[in-house]
Amino acid sequence: MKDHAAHRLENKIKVFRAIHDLTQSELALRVGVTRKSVNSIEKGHFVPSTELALRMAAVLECTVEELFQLPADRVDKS
Amino acid sequence: MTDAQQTPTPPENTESNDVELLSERNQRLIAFGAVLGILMLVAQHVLIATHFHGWVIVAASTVSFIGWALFLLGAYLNRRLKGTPEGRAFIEHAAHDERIIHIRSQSFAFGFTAMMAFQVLLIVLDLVFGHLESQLMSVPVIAPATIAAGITGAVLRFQFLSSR
Repeated sequence: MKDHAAHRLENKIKVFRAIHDLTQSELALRVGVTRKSVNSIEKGHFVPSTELALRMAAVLECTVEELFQLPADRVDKS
Repeated sequence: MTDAQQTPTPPENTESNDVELLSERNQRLIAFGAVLGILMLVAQHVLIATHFHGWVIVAASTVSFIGWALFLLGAYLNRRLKGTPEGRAFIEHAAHDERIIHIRSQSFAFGFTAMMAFQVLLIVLDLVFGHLESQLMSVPVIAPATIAAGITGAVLRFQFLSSR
């Protein structure tokens, strides 16, 4: 389920928001979701769809991989 | 220059506007009004089935009406909010939000699970304790109680998930 998986996904949305001087509301408006959704994604409670992750990455001018990462202990190196 | 001066401070995380707060308040009124209304309705049926009379039933009915009144007030305020340009924009925006759609489907599934669990619980109680309280195991009590379990489960799940 998304909610359980969310606890194991790290993100740097807050850092990129700071770089672009964007509030959660402004980012939410630009990617087409509510502010609470951005807050929930940022806190790791909700994993966004691929489309939303791509939209966020486009607005924050970075790649999806830069924005979202699997924690080191969950990366399959085989 | 200190670290604090060099590092850009991330914009505030908890900002929320009036429309969002009003929408949440209306949502809470609708949700908890419905839960209170239906639980007290079940209480009324239980009291009638167990032959209670007088003020207890009047009290349960009054609280049930208060619950439904809160539900209607929330629905009315939400309609009024939707009448404003900002409110309509927010509600239409939220209707397409993937997180809210996900939460709704999860809450709906949870409500059905709660109904099923309640039915299983009733069967187990009936098997373990036999027909101790046949009045309580009657359709006029079990039917609204099962619906109440589903609604309460779905509403509480929605409130929990959307508050995070």
